[in-house]
Amino acid sequence: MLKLKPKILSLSRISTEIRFSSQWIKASSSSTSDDINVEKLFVEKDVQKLLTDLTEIDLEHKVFRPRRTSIQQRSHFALMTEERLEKTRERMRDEARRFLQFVPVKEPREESIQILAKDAELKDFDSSKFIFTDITFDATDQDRTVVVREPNGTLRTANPEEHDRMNRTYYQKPNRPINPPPLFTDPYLKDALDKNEHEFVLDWACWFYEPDDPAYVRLSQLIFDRINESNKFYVITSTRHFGPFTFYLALNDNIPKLLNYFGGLGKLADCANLVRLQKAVRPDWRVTIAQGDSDEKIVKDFMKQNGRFRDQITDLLAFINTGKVKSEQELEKNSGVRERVGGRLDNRKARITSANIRGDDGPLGDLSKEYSVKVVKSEGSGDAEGIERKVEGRGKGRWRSRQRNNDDDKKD
Amino acid sequence: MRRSGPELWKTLTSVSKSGQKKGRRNTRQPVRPLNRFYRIGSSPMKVEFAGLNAPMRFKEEEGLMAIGEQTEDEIRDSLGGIRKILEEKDTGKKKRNREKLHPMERGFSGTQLVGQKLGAPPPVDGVDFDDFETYCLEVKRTSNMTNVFGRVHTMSALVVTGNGRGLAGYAVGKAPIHRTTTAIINGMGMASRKIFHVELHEGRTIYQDFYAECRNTRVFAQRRPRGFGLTCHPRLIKICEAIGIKDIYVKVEGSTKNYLALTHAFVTGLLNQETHQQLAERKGLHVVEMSPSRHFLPQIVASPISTELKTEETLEALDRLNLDDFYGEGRYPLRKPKALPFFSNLEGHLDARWRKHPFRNQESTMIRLIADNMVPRWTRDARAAWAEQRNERMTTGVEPIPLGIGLSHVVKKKED
Repeated sequence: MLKLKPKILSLSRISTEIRFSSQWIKASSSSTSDDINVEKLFVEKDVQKLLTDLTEIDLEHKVFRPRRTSIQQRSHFALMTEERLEKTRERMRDEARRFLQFVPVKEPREESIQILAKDAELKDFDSSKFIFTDITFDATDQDRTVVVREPNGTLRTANPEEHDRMNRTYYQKPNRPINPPPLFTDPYLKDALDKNEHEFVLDWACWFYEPDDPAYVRLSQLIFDRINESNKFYVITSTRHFGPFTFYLALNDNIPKLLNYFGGLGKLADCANLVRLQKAVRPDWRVTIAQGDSDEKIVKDFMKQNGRFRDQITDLLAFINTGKVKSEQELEKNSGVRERVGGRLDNRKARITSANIRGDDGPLGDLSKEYSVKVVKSEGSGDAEGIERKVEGRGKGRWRSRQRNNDDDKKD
Repeated sequence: MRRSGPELWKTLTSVSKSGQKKGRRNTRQPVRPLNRFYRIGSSPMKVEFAGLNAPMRFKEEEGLMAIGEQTEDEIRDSLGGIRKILEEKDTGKKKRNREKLHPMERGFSGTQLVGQKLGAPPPVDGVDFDDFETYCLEVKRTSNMTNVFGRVHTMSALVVTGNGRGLAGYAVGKAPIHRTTTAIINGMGMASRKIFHVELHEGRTIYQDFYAECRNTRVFAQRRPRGFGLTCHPRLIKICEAIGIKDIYVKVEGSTKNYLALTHAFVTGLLNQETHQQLAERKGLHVVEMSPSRHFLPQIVASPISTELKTEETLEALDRLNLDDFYGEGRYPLRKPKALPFFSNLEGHLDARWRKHPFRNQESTMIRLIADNMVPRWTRDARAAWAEQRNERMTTGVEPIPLGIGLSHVVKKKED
């Protein structure tokens, strides 16, 4: 066994280096060369930087939206100064950055096996295969040595399925069932995606599969394709899947719809970053980007040189030409969906501020038309003064409103 | 000597003054309504007395008395008549045909009004309480010594009314003895005149944990998350329902049976709360909510309007205190671990647990098999069919037979 080990290791190293065409590049878009190392490209510094810049951090509605927790727990309340609040928010933003760490883009595992030895004298030693698994402390699930002795005497490395089974046998993952859930196959998957549960499905897939599992790669590509088809980019923005998603689109030369989405929101910098990303991923792309080009120039150049996408990027064109962001109505519809994505609506009372204390949405409601509110500034830290709001009533109903109108007239 | 009926009855029923003191009242016979059973003049022989149960006769030859003709049935009826009347009359207690209340509408105990929903109090001065609901928390007999009447008993009822949106009131209603309903109605009227308003956090729970006391009753109330429900003393559940509190945990220590003190302590605690806006004004700081469902993302709930916002330099040590500690006044309810049942260490129980041990994973396996669509339903037939199918697949070689270390051997049946 000790003699064998270096041999096995070297074999596995070779297998990772020799890659044929990538699974992440679709055949339809493979007009360019196939020798791109996708895994390496994804972790390149400038690509990662562009992807991180493209992933906005929406704390309120996406990253830290209200979720169901396993244990019901009451919310905490604290008293904070402005500085303290800002510091806490900054910490939450750091936390969000950690949450939004991208799911790695990996090539699916090799299915091939290596034959290590053929010992004809061991033929028919038993009616079953014998599997030998390395369960030493420092062996991880990825690089664990698993070899199989076939009944005909051949000794070979295990295929991925056997490898997984042995991992599962010796190192169980709690609550991870053996069979993949039906949600990952179509009638149920379609239902889930119709309900905008893309993030949930992708998260579950991440948890269920390893990122280099062929099934995971297939599933995530399927979901990415459907998002791109149905223009539902808002379901995946500000999640940890947005990086791989954008990378996948750029790799397959399929960015116009996403560009259009950014254009509709009036995000010119994101548009330019997306074009830059495409260029970084596909250096042989026809669009040329100079070092010091402004965002607007990059986007305009892209539009000039890709006239064939003209009907796909109407919103972007409208934004560039007239500066018009997508209409209010559409945004509202969009945000409605957003809230539904976010879970339960927040139906608490609006916060009272000095701006709304006199209005209809203040504490007085409709009565604010009849009564005027005076806020008295107290000095220092009032101990037991409580609230220092004086409600001044000068009369009721019609008479009062008439008088007030007169006052207003005098002012004018 | 002739005596009237009442005079004769008096000889049977009356008790002398000294006899009353010795408790002979209960041994006396009650006045029986004899005319219900024996109509004057009626008899098994149907004797007709002229002027009594037969028309007056004025002719001499007819006589004052005659025996009337009877059929067989009439004789039988007259003989069994008394028995029939006695049977019809219910022996023992009075039978009441009360309508059965729905379990959610029942009160604390039996058919008593205490704890039941009593509806809205009557309108006062043109103000109607349509959306109010009233609960009676307690009816008791109180007594007072007077020099004229001696011990005088009074019914007293503790009543809470509220509209479930923060408005509520409670009062004690009184009435003479045995007039329970009157006492409750009086209490309702008074409670509707003593309305107070409680600010509710998110319209469902209290703003902060509080401690309140009245006499020997100590109340520790705690804010709880949405959907927690009311976990408290049954009387406090009713008070919370009336006010509109939906999630709360209250621990009552000391006297838990002085319901008036309990109500008073709880309501005092509720009224002494401060809203987040008031807290922000008082402290001159933002009140920030950090919800676990949002991964403790800080969100401003209230910020001071009239006072200046403090900065880090002007903060005092008191302002840095944890809010929950700040309100508790240093008091915490006693937390007792739940006592184990008496049988937990008995030999038989331990033995039974050990016998169940092999089957501890059965339920999760069942769920897993059904979820993976291996077995359509968890019935004996369905499982047997599944086993049959697998057996067939393995014997025909479609599926490999699991063999190896730790698995039992396949032993072929002997052919006889």
